[in-house]
Amino acid sequence: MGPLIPGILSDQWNNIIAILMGTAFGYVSESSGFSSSRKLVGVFYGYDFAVLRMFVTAAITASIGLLFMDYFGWIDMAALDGLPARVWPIIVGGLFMGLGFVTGGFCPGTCVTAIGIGKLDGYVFFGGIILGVFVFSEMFPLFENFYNSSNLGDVTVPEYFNISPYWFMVGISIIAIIAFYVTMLIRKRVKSVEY
Amino acid sequence: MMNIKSDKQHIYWNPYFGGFLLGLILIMTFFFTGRGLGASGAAKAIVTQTIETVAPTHAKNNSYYADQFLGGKVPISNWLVFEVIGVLAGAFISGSLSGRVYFRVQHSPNITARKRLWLALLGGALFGFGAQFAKGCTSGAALSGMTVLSLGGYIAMLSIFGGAYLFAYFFRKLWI
Amino acid sequence: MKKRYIFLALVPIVLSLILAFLPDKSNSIDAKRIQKSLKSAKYTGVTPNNLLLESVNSNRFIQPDELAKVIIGQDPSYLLVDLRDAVQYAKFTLPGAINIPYEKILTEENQAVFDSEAYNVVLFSNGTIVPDQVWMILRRAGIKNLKVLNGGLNQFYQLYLNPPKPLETDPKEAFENYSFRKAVGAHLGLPNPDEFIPGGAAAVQNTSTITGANTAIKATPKVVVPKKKAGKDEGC
Repeated sequence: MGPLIPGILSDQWNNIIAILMGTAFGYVSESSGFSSSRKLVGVFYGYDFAVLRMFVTAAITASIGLLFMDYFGWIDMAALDGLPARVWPIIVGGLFMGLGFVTGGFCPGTCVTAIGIGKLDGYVFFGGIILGVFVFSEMFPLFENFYNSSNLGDVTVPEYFNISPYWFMVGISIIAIIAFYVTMLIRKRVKSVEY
Repeated sequence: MMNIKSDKQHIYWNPYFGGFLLGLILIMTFFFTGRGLGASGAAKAIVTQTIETVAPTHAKNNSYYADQFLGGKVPISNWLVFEVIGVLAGAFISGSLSGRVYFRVQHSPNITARKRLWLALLGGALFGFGAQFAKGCTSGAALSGMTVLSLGGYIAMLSIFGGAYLFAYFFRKLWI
Repeated sequence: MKKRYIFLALVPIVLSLILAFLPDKSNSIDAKRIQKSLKSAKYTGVTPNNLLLESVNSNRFIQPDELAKVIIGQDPSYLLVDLRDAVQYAKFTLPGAINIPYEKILTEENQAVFDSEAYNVVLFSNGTIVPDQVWMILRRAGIKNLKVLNGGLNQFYQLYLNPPKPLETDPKEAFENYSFRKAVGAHLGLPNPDEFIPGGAAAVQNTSTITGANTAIKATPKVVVPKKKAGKDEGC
């Protein structure tokens, strides 16, 4: 019964698996073109929706896969690490991150991918992340109360709205398909950009 | 070799295919380790470890740094740091196979390379700052959070993309 | 619209529909969600009537002699909880006891100690009133396997520091109890007032038996591992 690390595999495998999974992640990410900042921001300007397609496809594939594995008893989904829903800090953080995304054209994952193939703007972006983390850490006493506020705990969306997770996935899949179709129509109308 | 470089250079995979593979990777990561992927945590670990080496008393006094040492944990030996090393390796392998590895600054023709670098620095600072509030980035909070149907993950996804769409109009000259 | 994409688009929808209609989801995350929502609606504590019945019954009290047997036998199934404040706890406490000041007994991290239900918990303080109040509160919250040390530390140490000498006419058990209590006193490192210690008070400070006694009393408290995983969210 997964997850394997605390019980079945010893903890020393954790870092090895981290490297392996990271390698796979980097390979897929780079091969899909996610090291290119101009490709990434295409989703915000309508000329390339690859980010949306890859992101949502990955989330849906992984969710449905995990739900199936959970049903068959191969993994205990409740024991997986979720993100505690600290509503307002996450929203504020997301807004800063969105601003950073359109300014710098990267997110940390794709930034590392860009570093891997030699893009200097990726290096600088990572340096910027280090700077941002440092500034936050130094200013932390100002934010400390806000940082820990409005914590709903590690709750999942089906739990919170008290619906079945499977029907939730049906809904998400339908929304995703509609989003893919609509963005395809938008892309046809937007002036194409060479990058 | 030169014509191979120009042939394969910007032929990328179909994003649905890439997304499907990434989904499989996520499933395996969760199955093996019980946690998802991520990236900004590695930067956090680097900062904390550096501060600890350079100014240990300051690190002890600041609760943000100090919390990361609870239970005898060593920040730099963080799962995410190893994962990021893997991402570098994977990207390098994929790039080399397609002839995309060389030093350059990628920027829109509307702006200079120097301006692009400054903007990258600013964007990175904003992103790093925001990622601390949300305790994650798009891969860690949004993607891995959404995979386990976590409410926090969905909120993160919506606010990151929402925020970006909100500000995108003002920065369009940089990209288009 | 390429046919291939239409087909692929239907795949996640069909798969999730299959998931929705699968039978027997007793162990899945959905079942846990339903259990959780049912649990939060129900009150799981003890009703006032039952609490009254329990409080009249003196089963919850553990006598000092029984507790001494637990301590000497180092019975791992017992968890001793010192309800006094940290200052008094640091000065001296029972071997292996953990410290939860009673004002903080209902915080989440302290409640996690009781969650594992693997231990028999013995509540103690200087007297009996505070542990008994805490017993009432914890019972109301539905926590089981609680005991209260009768007489508290005051009676405990009085009994073992200077066990009452049995009279000539007392039955044999009284003498056995007396020897047992003296042995407990020695085990806990309490100085025996019968032994003549040459050199007076200064020698008392320096003799190894006394220093050995201090270390014996201040044994490292048991490390209680709470059952729930204490949110190892490192974020990403």
